[in-house]
Amino acid sequence: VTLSEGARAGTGRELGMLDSLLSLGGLVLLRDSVEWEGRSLLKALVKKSALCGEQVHILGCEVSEEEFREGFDSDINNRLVYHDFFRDPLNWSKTEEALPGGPLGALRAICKRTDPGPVTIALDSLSWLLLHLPCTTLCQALHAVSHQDSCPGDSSPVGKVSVLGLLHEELHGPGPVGALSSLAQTEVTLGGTKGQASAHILCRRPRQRPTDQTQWFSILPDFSLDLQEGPSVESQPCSDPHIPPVDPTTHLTFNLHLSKKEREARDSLILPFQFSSEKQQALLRPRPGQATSHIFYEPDAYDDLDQEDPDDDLDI
Amino acid sequence: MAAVATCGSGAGSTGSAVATASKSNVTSFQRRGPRASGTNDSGPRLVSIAGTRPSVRNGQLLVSTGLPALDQLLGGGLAIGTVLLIEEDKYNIYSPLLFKCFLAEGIVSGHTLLVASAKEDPANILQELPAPLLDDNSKKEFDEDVYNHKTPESNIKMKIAWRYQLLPKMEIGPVSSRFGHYYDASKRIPQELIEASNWHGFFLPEKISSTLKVEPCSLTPGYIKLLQFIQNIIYEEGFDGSNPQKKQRNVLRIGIQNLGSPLWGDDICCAENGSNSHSLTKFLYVLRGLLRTSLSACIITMPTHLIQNKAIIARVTNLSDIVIGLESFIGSERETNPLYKDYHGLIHIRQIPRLNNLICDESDVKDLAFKLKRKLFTIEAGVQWHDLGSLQPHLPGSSNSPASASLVAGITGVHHHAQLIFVFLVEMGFHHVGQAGFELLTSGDSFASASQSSGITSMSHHLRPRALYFKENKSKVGARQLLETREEHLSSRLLILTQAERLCMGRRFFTAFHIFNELPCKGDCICLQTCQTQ
Repeated sequence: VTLSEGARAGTGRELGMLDSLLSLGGLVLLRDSVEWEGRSLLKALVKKSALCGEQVHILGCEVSEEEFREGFDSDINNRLVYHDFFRDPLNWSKTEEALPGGPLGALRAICKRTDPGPVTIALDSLSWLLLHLPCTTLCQALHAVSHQDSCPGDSSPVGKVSVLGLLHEELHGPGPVGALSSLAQTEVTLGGTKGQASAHILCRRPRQRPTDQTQWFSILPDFSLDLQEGPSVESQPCSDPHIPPVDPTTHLTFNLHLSKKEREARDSLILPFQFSSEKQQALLRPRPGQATSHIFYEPDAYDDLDQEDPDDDLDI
Repeated sequence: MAAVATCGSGAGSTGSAVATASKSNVTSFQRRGPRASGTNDSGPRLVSIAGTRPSVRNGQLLVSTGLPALDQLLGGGLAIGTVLLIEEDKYNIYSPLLFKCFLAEGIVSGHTLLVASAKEDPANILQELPAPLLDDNSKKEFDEDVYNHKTPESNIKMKIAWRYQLLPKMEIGPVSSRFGHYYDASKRIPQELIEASNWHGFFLPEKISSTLKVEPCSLTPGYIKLLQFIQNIIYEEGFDGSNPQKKQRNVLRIGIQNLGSPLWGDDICCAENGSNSHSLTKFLYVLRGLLRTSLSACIITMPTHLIQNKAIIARVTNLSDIVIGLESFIGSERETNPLYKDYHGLIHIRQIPRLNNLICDESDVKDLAFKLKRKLFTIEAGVQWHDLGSLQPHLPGSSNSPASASLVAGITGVHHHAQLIFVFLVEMGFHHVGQAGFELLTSGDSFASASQSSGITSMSHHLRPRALYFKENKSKVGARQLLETREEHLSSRLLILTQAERLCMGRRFFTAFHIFNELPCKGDCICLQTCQTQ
């Protein structure tokens, strides 16, 4: 699927791309904006992975736990492992439940788990983390987390780790956003027109060309994902029908078209550097008096044509 | 591993050049007298390390970058002691391939490798190196690729009066002991080659603990560790000459991947005015110092499209020796441009060094595009889109096909003149001029006007070092002296003489040159004089 081909939505094969976001693993970046918010898509993806039986960890930093769990039914809520950094981000209450090391410590602790199986980590949100942590540290931690499954020779088979990060594009400059998107395996940019949300999914597989696709969707109240066809594309207003397209080849003072006879004559013309066998034979036939290569030289006014070698005048 | 000192193809140095020439009668160069360098052997000794060869232009020892086309663009290869910086393409698809070709070339040549990365484990990188194309199946690979390449051109209905259509392609022959190999991007390097090689890996997450405190205005800890690691390897293995017992000298190839990305702890990609904005430039400065004092060459890939402060990119370019930028067409509007439909991206050569030289070895072909075919990565150039990788690096005085000279010089048009055209060749390392009967740049008698044995020239005045000026009859003039005196007395750079100049240059002018023959020569030039009259 080339980049240009993938822009179409609606075929059966492509509908699955939004569904299969998590199956690729690695860092999935959800870029949202004020008009098209991404938390509902994040919750929909969390719900889907919970229903698949994966372990789901949520690092909640931006909204409270109650708000995040709202809308999920109880069995999903039981499966979610929620790390709350919203209520007490700087650990002022110094309770035992507080996780050491902050959000990054929690990430590393999740990685050090011993039980196998695929894990999905949802970061709500990466913007909060970017504002509170240095960008390089965050990038290094994310890279360590999302590439953990690619080390061979591990004693315990660690399952695939998917990290879903919600990033509010407008809060950051091009630097951090560019750095994170170069790390991400999949990048989903939310947009849409006229009430219909769309996700532009850019998938970067290592050593392969990136593929992209635009998927129209909507989120149902119970946070399940509903994939849709795009809105009907209106006919673009073409160039003004009153003005016919101008043919630039008319009204020229020279002839751009060849008649058939002329075309034949042109095709049969032998170009100077193309050699047919006759021409080669003609060349190879030894011409009289030609032993070595010749130089045809027309002397001009400033040249003197004495045949002596000027070197003979030298007295070395 | 080739333990025998083979210095690659052709003759690059003074002594052996003429020796082979006289033996094989390939050229008509003949020595005028006893060795100019004298019997005390004060000339440059051949450093015989496998996989290297001296440059014909400035005497530097070169290693291959793994892509013969790239070697040719860089003037023969990457000089030992220099840094090759590759600016990554946006999605980082093609720059790792160049990186891996460099490392694979090191393995095939038997060099020691040092691979540093913050993203991937170096052991994994080495597993993914491309396999070298060996002699027996290389021709087959090339032919099939060539045919695939040629078929779209044959469909073009427009016939061009292009005399190079019929020129034979030069022999391609990557042999294991030679300089420069072709790599098959679809196959992995055989495991036994990796195991037989000597390599060191530096994987940043393993070497550094995350709780290290960073002092401001100094190098980031990742860079410090990497520099220490490189220094240790250079010292312990004697690449800087510190271990005099080592008889077999070898070259260290250093490869650093994704330098400057946030994974190295450097925030130049994240912020415009970060706290360590000088960290990368300091690193490159120290690295260059380490390289210049040891037998090593380094390749660095850097995501410059992510660097926020453009001044840093300019500084990094100045601190590196060779800078090549890759621009892939993916996602840009050029992807649909029919001009570029066969190609995957453009290569921009942003900087080439001037090593022990006043001029740099600039390629005259500026519009280069690359294409990753099924197996091979090729670089093609200019209007002709001729594959640069299929040409052997040519040397003057060898009767190679002139196509090589012309294409290296970027000829886009052929200018014939009834009179001869003076072309000067400035070459380093040759002491004496060729003599009688020397034909250079004749296009193989394939055209009737062989009388116009003027070679191919390019009418660009940027071609200062490329002018070739050849002669037909006997003269014992030292060419170097001629050029040098012209430079000295006329105080003009060597140029291809335009028609106007040639008009002014009568026989008297040649006489003047001959009188000045006795001056000692400072530069190394070859000039072969041509005689207008028959």
